[in-house]
Amino acid sequence: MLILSNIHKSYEGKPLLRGISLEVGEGETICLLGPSGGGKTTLLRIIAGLENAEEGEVNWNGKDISSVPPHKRNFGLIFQDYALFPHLNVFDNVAFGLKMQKLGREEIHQRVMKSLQQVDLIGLESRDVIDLSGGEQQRVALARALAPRPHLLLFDEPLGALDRKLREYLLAELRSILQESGVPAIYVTHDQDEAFTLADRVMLLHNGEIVQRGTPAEVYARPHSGWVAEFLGAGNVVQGKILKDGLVETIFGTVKMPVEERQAEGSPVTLLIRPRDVRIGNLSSPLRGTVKDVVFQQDRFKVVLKGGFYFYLSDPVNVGEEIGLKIEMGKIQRLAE
Amino acid sequence: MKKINLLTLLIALLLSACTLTAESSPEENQLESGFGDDVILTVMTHDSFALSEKVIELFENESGIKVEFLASGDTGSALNKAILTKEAPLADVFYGVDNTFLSRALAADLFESYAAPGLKNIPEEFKFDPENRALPVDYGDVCINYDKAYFAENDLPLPENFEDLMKPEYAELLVVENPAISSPGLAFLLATVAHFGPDGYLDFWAAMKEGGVSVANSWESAYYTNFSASSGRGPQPMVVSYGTSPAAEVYFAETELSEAPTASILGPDTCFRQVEFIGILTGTQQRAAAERFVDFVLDVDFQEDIPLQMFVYPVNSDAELPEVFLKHAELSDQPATISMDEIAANREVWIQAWTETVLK
Amino acid sequence: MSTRKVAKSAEKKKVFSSRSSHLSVPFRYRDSILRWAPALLFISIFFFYPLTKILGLGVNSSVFLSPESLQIALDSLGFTLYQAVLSMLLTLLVGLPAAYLFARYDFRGKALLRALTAVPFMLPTVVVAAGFNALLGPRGWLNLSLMNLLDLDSPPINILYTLGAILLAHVFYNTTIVIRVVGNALSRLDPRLIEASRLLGADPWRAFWRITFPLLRPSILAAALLVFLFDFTSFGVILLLGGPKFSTLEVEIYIQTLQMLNLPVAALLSIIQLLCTLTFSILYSRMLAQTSTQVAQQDTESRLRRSKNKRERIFIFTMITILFALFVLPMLALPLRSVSRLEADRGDRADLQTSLTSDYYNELFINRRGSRFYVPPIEAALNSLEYAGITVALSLLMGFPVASALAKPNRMDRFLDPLLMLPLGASAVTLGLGFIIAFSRPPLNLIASPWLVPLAHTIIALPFVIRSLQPALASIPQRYREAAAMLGASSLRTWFTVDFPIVFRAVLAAATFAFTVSLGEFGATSLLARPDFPTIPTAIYRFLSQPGGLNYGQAMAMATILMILTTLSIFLIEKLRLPGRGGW
Repeated sequence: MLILSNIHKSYEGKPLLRGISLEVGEGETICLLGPSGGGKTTLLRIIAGLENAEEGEVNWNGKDISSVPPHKRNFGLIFQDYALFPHLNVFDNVAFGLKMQKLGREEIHQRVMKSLQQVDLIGLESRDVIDLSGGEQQRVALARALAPRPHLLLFDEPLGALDRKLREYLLAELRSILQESGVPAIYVTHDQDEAFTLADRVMLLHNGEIVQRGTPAEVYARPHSGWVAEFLGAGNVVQGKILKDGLVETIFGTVKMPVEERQAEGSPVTLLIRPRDVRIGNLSSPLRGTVKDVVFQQDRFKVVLKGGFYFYLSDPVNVGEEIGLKIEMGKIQRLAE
Repeated sequence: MKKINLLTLLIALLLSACTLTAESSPEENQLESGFGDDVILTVMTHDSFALSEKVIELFENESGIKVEFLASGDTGSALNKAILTKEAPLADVFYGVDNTFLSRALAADLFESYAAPGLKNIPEEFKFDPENRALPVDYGDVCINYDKAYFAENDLPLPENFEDLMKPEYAELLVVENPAISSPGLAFLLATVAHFGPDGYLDFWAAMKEGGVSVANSWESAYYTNFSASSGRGPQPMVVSYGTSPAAEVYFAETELSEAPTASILGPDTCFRQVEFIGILTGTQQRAAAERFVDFVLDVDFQEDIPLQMFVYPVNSDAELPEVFLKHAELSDQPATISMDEIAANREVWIQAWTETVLK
Repeated sequence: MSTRKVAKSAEKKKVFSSRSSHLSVPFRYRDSILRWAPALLFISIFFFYPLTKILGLGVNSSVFLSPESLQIALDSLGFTLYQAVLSMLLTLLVGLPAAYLFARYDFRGKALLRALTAVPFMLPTVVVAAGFNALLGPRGWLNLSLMNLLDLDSPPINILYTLGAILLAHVFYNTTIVIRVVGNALSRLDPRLIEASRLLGADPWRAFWRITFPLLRPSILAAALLVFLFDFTSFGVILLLGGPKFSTLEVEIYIQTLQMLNLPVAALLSIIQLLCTLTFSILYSRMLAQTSTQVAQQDTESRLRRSKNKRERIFIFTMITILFALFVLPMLALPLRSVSRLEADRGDRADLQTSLTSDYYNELFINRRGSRFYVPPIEAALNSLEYAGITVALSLLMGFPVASALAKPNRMDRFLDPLLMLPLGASAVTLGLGFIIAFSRPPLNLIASPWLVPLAHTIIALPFVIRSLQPALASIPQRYREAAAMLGASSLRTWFTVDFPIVFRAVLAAATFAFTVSLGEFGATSLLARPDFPTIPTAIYRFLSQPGGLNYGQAMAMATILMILTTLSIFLIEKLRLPGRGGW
């Protein structure tokens, strides 16, 4: 069980991580989701012991392991570009961690083969790793990390360099391997699809802080802020100003929304309007806009209005046409700043 | 494509290198009779050779011959280079074979005879080759130099001869050069052979080894690394160098010196006289120009230039010595001598025996 | 789509791309032949031809294989090997941690210190001997301070004319080879490989032996071979610092050739030395072939780190101290001596009165004796630089194609490879004399040509250039080229946009080597240079060939100029960055 508390780290004088705290439970997969350069990799390296935090504690099963060197932690790390040992073949790459544990030849062989089987690489044992394709290399890296039976698996954007199809396939495979092995894992990515596929819990990292955490469904359903909603692509994030009687003025007109607590007139507000809650209405609707673009997407049309607001229709509308919108009351979410 | 270009470039480069030479090659621009403006005489010599611009201009202006110098390593290297290229001589005149190696040059038929008129001004003692193939040009003594201050400070009397050097009070005070490599080293070895005889010199060297004589491979190391009175400030107050070295110390001093910091030990046979020779290389196409140059070298203008350029003495008795030579340079009255033939016959044997005795 | 399918489609691509090289035999080697042609032509004309000329003079004699000759050869061969092995091991001992220091850490003054470690490589031995003497000699700084400190009567350290002096000087000279060759590979080594091994349970020591060391093996082997060959054929160091008690093959060749004119023995010794060189080069190729061929390396230099923890700080501090003591102090002696005058008060022995002076520098610019052969220091420096420039250009021009052939060697490349190292095994004297005999008559009458010196230097620099380029070229993953080719780059464009930037640093290292080899070469130069075109080393030697304080001072001043010149050049070369490649 891993507990991070209040981790701080800066790089060249700029704060990179600002008080990160999180927990990973038995068999749990955590995804750290955030844009590139947000300190995700650094956090992973701190957990792995490759870097030290300037402040805060890394706690494993009740013990502070901040000063435990990486080779004594028995955590597995899968690097972004795999970092396979180029002078060793597939078998020896996978066997490396087992040799470090000074296991017997027989056992090493058995466990290597088992790991290779897990990742569907049987038959490639004696190949040079530089002769492998990207997907194969990725799976060798996974097998290598799994073989020593690590207490915790760390993934640093492991699928970033692969094409879409392969990524989806490996993601599914990874999911079943993680479930099967029951090893807790932390998976770092900037891709929400990856995160939502794998994670038991997602943590969104922004400017060195965790801005939201929860199950994928929770996070998607209730983004805490405009930034989260936009990063997740949850819908239209619309800025507005409170008028009176629960009316909010936006650039698309006024919308009505329930006001739970009294708020001063004129104060700014951020709204999330999901495309699925938008219907086409008549032109007398207080909400309207001019169609800027219509894009065909498989079984529907994505309509984009001037100002960036978008939603979906089953029948196309004309570009340049002015249309009215209808939004179900109560579906509009109010977000924190 | 790229590689072919490289190849052409390389070939072009080689060709240009060849033509570059062809233009400046001495044989190309020769005139058979008389000396036009473009007669070029090539003089091969060792890298200690030096002369004044003024003096060589004098010759070039008077004779219309342009002189080019080809330096080729130290004394031994230069001579061997000349011998190895004997079939297609690189030069017309060779300057600077000394009496320790003269026999090798003569045996190789390196030189053509030339009874230069200038020989009349040169004392008989320097004329080693009766056939006048090698003509003497300069001479000097290889002697032990000592650090005056050291001996004064330690109230140590100077050793007067080789026998004194074996005494315990002079143990570890002398550095000599390896005769297999260094020209003064060989000269000094020959001096001990001359003094003790071919049967006795090894006993001397065995005693010297016992007393802790230091051996350096080159004059530069011995003088600048080992010798205490040089700028290198080494540990030994005595070094095998030249009788003119004290004069050079004064001439090249950082501050003006009234007295040399070093002097030579001038006992019987303690100095070996080295004589340097000039010769016209066999097969030269420019015999007349070469003769004219040799005449010039033996004449007073060149001879008087020798001391301060190369720190050796002129052989021409009419040449006057510079003041720094008169004051600070020394010549032995009783230098060691061994006949050229004896040197030729035994040089390698003596060096070998010396190596066995002193170095092994 | 299953993974198998994905893997297969990738495989298909590979088969397809390799099929194009399955051409008929002459075609398969055509590329190699073209790449080798310039260099082979060059070393045939300027190495093998003069070499056979000079050796030919000796081998026909009955003395050539006589027992006496063999005895001489065996005697010196033993010591030559012994000192070369010891020197090489010591050089690696200092050089490997130093390479690590420079490749992995950032600290103030790093660029300067790195440049300074390369300076000894081109300093003439006479000058180095003077520097060592000023520092470690019987009355050098160290002994004088120890005598003062411990109240001793005689100097406690006596290193002159000992094996220790030889070893020390070899380390001093050749550590730069290790720093550059291994350091270059190290800085391209992906640090994540070490991290991956650490996470798999390897402690730092095992991570080093199992990952770093095997990955660096090719470059360590290359550096060790170069260092070994340099020590094996060492001449000046043995002669001047080792003294007469020590004789290597090279020294013996020198004595036999130039003093004894015993060409048969000299030829025998030369051939033995060449055969040894060839053997070591073949051994090296074999060992290299056993290690993995290609090492995945990153194309950008790994992030340099400032010291992190206490252990690292201790390491950095210790290494800087060692390097400073080993490289900077002996060299510092020269510039110090070049501006200090020893007072004429010669009675006082232990404490020398010194005062500052610029006399030696002023004197360099005065032709006091009106000498025909006087050369202003600027001109000697320009001669040196010109020769070095030509050497760099020639050796890069011929070395690059060969190195690129060797990066993915076929059988022909492997066979030709050891031949390239042979010039390192030829004695400078042999080569110099060979040049004189071979090129003194038509069709190649070069003897009076100023080209002769850079041509000889190129022969010596070529192996260095090829050895430093080869690992970098080999490290370019094929897929980069394929990626570039897919984007429509012609093969030349590919070379410029992909290969060149990646090997840029290696080219710089190669150029530095060629440059320094040329600047410092003395043996062949002294035989080939014309007196009116002296290089800085020959000018220094000329000053030291006569007694007197001014001569000594001027030699030190000239050596200082050489040092500053080379430090600056190397400093600038290493500061060069490709535009638009910030990380480099």
